[in-house]
Amino acid sequence: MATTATVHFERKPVFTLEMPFGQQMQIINHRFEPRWRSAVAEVTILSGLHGDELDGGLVCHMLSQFLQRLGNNWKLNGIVNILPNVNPLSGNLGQRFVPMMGSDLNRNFPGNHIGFESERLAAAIFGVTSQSLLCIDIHSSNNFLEELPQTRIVNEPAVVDWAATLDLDLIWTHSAHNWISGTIAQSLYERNINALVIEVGTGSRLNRLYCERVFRGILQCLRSLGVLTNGTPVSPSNALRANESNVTYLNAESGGLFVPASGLKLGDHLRRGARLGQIIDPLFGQETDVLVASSGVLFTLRVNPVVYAGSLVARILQT
Amino acid sequence: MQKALGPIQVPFGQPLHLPYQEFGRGKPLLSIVSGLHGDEYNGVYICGLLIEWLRRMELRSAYSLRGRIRILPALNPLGLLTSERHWPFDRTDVDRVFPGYSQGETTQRLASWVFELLRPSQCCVDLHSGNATFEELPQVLVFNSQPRALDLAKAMGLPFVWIRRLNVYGEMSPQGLEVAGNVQGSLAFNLAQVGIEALVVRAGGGLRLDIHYCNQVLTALIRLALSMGVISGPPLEKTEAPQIAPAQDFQSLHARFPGFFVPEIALGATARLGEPLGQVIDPLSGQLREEITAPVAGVIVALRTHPVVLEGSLVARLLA
Repeated sequence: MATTATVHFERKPVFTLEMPFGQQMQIINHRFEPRWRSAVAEVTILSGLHGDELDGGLVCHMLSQFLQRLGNNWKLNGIVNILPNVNPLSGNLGQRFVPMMGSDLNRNFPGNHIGFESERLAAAIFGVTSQSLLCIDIHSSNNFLEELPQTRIVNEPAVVDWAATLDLDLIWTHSAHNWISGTIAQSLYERNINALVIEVGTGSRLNRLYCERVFRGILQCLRSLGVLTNGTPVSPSNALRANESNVTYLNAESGGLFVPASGLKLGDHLRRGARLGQIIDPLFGQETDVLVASSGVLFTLRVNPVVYAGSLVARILQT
Repeated sequence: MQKALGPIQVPFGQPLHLPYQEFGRGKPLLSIVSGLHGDEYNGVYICGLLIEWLRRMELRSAYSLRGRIRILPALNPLGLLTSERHWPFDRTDVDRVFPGYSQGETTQRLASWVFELLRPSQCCVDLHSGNATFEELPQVLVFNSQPRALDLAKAMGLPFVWIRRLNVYGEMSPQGLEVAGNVQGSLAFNLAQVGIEALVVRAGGGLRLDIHYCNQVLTALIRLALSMGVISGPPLEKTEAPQIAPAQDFQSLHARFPGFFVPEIALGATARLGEPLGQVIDPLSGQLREEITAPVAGVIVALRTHPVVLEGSLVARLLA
């Protein structure tokens, strides 16, 4: 499937799982390699480990289309693997997890080729990433929250620099011991492959504007790695920096419906004591204010109004 | 004495209370927990049996309390109500959010209350069954890091004890090792981290009651309470010594083809080398896809009850 004189493109299944009732599940890799010369590096971009996170599918599509029709001033110098919607069964069911497999696919890495279903799936995905210098794992939030485009990474200088090239709104660093075991990011980290976990928008929806930003961000990241070149310099990032101690979580303290303050939107700068919204109890008529506990930038906001006591309503980066 | 954790404020209507029972006072404290998974009813029923046994013991019996027993029977009440394994509202696995956080998400708050209540225990038993797809022979699971828990597990007299070993470095998982990421937030793992002897009991299947197994586990819990000195009284009749098995002694058998799994052997049966355990058939063509046979001689300790298998689905576990 060669598409241009300088780029070799192949779209092929890297894993097939036979299912009952005549069905089949496949993971497809869109693999781009430079022709006629050796690759400077290999990068893998994947999306949809959770079946209800869809933005990454659009981002992967835009990237694949772009690389298939690479303009004259662009050059591919490295290998790019694109794995869109790597959990197609969950995706087809419109669900986050696959109930019959019993667990979160993103807790089964590095997987096992002779294990049970999700371990096999995980092992196949992990196999594709194993030659990569860098892996970009694109997530949306779940159905409850909306996220400002952000990159979550382990706190190491080289990784922070790579994350900065994505030019998203926020870089959120975690120390290595807080990286959750069984995730692809943590498993890669243990093998000295670095991962950028992108988190954007909300579950079961597409945010087109955010997807275009992530698409442009990944192109810029590939350029800074030298995997792609187009003769122009990479512009520096001015992302906000979150870590493990400067993020405030606002949780509902009563049950009911969360009604955000009018005009409230992600990216707003909020003052301590301001009203973020109210929780109303439609049965008994109570209203409880949700107040901003520390001044800062709103980067996570609840979009599903139903709350229990404890439900996360917002996250604020202290400034 | 009945007490309650919570309440949890819900969106619409009356707050959720989580009742628990306490018998006796002082030390040692034995805690029993069940119903973290809403599709597992055996543990909840066993708690009921134990509560009734203790209540009657208080009235008349050869047994008397020397310490304290706490019983938390139904920790995922809405899951149990709707037969959903996880917390139904946001699909959180309640057995993966320990030790919890009192200022956090609803399930984290719940977990933190439970964990604080369990913290003074010398030993805690978390009762589980198989899920909606599997049935399990009564067994106790302990971590290899807790030798005292292994002694307590032996005293329970259930057919076998499974010594769990964690694959903490994330190596490509060799047979039987558990993925650390799958265990990290579990109650048992976190109890073990703070030095409480953590026993996980698994018995029977999901979405149903296995009365015989439940009675067997009740007796095992009484044996445990006796051996800890929480109750005193005449010993129960002896059972055969349980088989103690490290993780690698369990053979996981997976289907190689998709279709319906049709078992040809019963849970608890001893299979000879090469004996047929079940077939995978393709209902669309009517063809036999695979005959699954025992790779070694051993006891069937877990068996698939749900017919639908994918390529790779676990169909049975065998203890050599």
